[in-house]
Amino acid sequence: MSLLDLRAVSHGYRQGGLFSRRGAKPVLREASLRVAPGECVALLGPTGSGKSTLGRLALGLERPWAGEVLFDGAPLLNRRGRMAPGNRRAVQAVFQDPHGATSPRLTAFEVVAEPLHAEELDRSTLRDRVAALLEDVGLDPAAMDRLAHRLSGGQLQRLCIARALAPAPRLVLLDEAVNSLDLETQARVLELLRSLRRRTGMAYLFVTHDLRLVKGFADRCYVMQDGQSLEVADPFGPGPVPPAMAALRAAILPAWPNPRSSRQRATTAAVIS
Amino acid sequence: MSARSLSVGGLHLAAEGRLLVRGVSFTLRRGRVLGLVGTSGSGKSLTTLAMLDLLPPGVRQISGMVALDNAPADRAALRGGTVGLVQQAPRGGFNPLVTIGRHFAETLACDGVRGAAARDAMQGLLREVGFDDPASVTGRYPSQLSGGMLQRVMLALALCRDPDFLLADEPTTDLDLVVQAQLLDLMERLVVRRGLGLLLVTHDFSVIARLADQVVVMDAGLIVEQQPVHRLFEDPAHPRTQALMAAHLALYA
Repeated sequence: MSLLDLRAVSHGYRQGGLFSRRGAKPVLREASLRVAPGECVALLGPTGSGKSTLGRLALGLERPWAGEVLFDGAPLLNRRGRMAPGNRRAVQAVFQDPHGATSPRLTAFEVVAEPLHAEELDRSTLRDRVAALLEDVGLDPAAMDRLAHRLSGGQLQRLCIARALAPAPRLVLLDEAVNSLDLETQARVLELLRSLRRRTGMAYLFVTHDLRLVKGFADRCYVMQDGQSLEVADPFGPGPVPPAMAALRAAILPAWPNPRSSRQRATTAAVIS
Repeated sequence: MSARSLSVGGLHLAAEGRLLVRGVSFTLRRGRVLGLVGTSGSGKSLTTLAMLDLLPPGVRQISGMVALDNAPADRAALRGGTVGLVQQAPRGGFNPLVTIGRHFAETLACDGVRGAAARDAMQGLLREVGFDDPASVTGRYPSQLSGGMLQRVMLALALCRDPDFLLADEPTTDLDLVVQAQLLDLMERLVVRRGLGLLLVTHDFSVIARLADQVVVMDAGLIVEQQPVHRLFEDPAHPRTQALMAAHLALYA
C-alpha cells in the first residue's frame, strides 16, 4: 500500500484582490502521484508548473478542489479539513529558504524543540533530544543556544532538517530544499539526507527544478506537465520523454566551457569597431 | 565617450574588527565577461557592492580603490550611468507600490529623458530583454510579474542609462533552470551587441562555464586563483578551486 496517494487531484488559486471578478486559475488538473513507504520520489518542473501546490496538498495545508489525498490509505484531512495529530507528525517539510522558515528571535535549540513541545518532556530530556537531533544532521550541539539566524545558510538548512526529523516523520517533503545552497553545501546536505533515509526508512517527496540533483538520489521521478504529474521511467535514458522533461534536460548548462566560442571573436570585433 | 576598463585594486573590507575581504584586485574589460566565483561568505557580494560604494552599514573599507580607465573614480558617480547593478532576488529591488513604467520613468529622468522619448526608450529596452509586447508589462505592478520576468525587467532598468559595465550578483540563483538558460543567453547578447563589460558573480560553475572569459576564484575574502576560463576548468591550481570544481563535476557524474 502507498504511504501517500494523490488521486486525480485538481486545485488552483483565485486571482486578483478580494473583490476581483476574475475566475480562479487552475494549477492542477486531475494529477496523481504515489509515494511508497521508504521511497524517494522526485517531482520535477519549472516555476509555476504546480509542483509546490502538489506538495502543499500532500502536507494537508490546502484542500484540493477535487480528487483525494490519502495517507496510509485513509483521507489525510477529515471532513472539517483537519488533520489527525498522528498524521501531522508523520508528514514534515523542509523548504527552500531556511531564513524564511525560521524565526529570527529563536535560538537553534528553540527551533528544533518546537515540534517536541506536544510530548511535554522535562527540560533536560528535551535538551538531550535536541542535542541528538543536531548531531544527526552534523551540527555541533554546543551551538544550540545561539540565535538560529547567526548560523550560515547551509547550517540553518541543516537545522530545518533537524526540526523536520524531530517528530520522527514517515514522509518528508523537500521543496527545493537544497537549491539555495552553494555547490559544496548542496552535495553535503544531499549526502546527509541520503544517509538519514537509509537509517530511518522514511520516505521523501523531493521537489526540484534541477534534474541533475535527481540522479542517484530518487527512486522514481515525476514531471509536471499541463497541471498533471507524469511518471518518467528513465529521465536520463535515450528513450522518449514528455516535452516538459525534455525542456528541463535542455536547460541544464554544460559542465565545461565551450571550446573557443564564436562569441569571443564576435566580442573582440565589437570592441574594436 | 565610453570607458574601456573598470578596475578594483587592493580592496580590504572589515566588520566588527574582522577582515572580510583581503586585498582583492581585478580588472573588468568592455565586451568581456569576468566571472567572480566562490562559496557563500567568501566576500564576493561585498566586493561587488564596494565597487559602487554601496556597502551595508557596519562594513568599512580599510583600503583599496576603484579605477576607470586606470584613473581613480568617484564610485558613487559611477552608479547607473557608467556601471549598472543587478542583484539576486529581484523582488527586493522594486518598489511594490508603483508600476514597472514608473520605475523606468524615474531612472530615465536622471538623464533628463522624459515624455514620449522616455516611453520609446522604455519600450526599446523591454524589447531588448525579450518582452515582445512591452505595453503589457509597463502598467503592471512588480507583484504581478514572475521572478524571471522581474529579473529581466531589472536588467532593462540597469541598462537604462546605457552603462559601459554591468555588475550581476547571482542574477540567476533564484530562477529555475529554464529561465536561467534564457537569461544567460540574453546577457550574452548584451555583451556582444553593446560591448558591455560584465562582472558575473555566482557560486555556480556551470554559469561560469556558460558565459565567463576570465575567472576570479575567491575564498574567505582572498583571491585564490585568477585564470582564463578554459585553463581554470582544465587545470585548477588552488586546492579550494579543485574542491569546488569536484563538487560541480559531481553533479554531472
